[in-house]
Amino acid sequence: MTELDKLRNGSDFAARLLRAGSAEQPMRAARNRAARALGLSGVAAGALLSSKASATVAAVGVGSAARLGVPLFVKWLALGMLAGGAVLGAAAAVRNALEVTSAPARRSSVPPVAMKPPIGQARQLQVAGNSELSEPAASAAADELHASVGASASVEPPRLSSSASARLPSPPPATIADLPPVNGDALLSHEIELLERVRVKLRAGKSGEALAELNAVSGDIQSLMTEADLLRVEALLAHGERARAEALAEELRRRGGGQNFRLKRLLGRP
Amino acid sequence: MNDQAMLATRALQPAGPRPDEARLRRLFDDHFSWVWRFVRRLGVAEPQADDAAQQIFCVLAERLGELEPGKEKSFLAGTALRVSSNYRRSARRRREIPDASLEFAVDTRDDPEQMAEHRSELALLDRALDQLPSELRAAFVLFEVENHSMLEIAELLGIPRGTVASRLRRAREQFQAAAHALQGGTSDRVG
Repeated sequence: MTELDKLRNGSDFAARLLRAGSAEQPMRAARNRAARALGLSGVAAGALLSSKASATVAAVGVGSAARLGVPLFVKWLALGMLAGGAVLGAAAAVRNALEVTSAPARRSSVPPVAMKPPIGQARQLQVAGNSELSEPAASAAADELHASVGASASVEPPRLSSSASARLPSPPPATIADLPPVNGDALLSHEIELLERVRVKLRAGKSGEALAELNAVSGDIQSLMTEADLLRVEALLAHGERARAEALAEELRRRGGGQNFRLKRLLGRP
Repeated sequence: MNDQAMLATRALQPAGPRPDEARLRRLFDDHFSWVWRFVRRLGVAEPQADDAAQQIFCVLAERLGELEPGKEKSFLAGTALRVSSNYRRSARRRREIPDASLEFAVDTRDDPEQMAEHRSELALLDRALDQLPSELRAAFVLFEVENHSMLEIAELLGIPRGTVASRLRRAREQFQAAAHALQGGTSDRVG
């Protein structure tokens, strides 16, 4: 037996490894993602397969199914059901995104320093202050989403804890016009802009105003929450509230946001 | 998706229907798995292999108009070698350690026992392949894992047939030695 034969056909260790390598396949999700990125019509092979499955099931009917054979029929039926489930799941995800972007809950348990304005009011102020979020544009984007998920004309406000509800006046129901843009990049830009306003006030030595601004916008920060918390620590320190700053820093450390170095630097610890 | 793949993808978003779409689709259907497996065996970890394969096809989509029909697979192989090299380099810079437990979590192709054995074999294969210089590794993978002929490999890599033969001979010797060394320490897990 030659060395080549031994490698390819033998039962030895090296041959087993090579056979494992030949058998490896990419996950279907990776393939679908790449197809979508390339803009190949039909988007996902799985979706293509499923739609074909549904079409086949509808076309052939029960009689043809018997001719095709029960296992094949069951396979196609299952694929069709999977496709249906995927569509429903996507619709639910879009609806969740709508609810979250309409009024995200604040995760930090540290109470805000200043009185928080009503959520609806804060949002309206932000919308008015941001040229990218002009009402017609926000409204158009919201209408598009609204139509796709078949939601009702207004979006329910978030549920607050009982203590939070007691502190805050009950916010008016958010309308579609109040929604921020749904595009991920636009949301991120919006958050960056909000935090930049806080940072400018902080750099100008207006720590009280920075904290108030941070309280006002905190409900709208989702992606940059860690950044917002670090700014809050910095603002509290600048405002002379070291104990609260340290308490927040401790909580952040417990959450494990990977910002230990920055926290130590802010608090002036070695 | 990493930054490289994201940028490549964004740059290629079409403004309208592309004339080469049918050709691209056919190449994607025929070669995506091959490209993905090739970059894996060239040392790109599984999560990054998804991005790398996508990036390679993005490059192909960009250059498809300039490519002669029949030369696409060679182009894919050449691009895969370059992209894999970049990914390996950046992985070394980041000192990434592939998390096998994460890969286990998403792989639902086999039952757990088979899956564990398969993963173990793949990890050992990659460790053995890591012992080969990159030029030997590419030829060896195309021949032994992808079952290409020497003539095909010569075309894919753009090298003479004699060079392919000599690279394969040296690669087999080195791979056998590496596998033998690995077998000593892992006979309880595989084999």
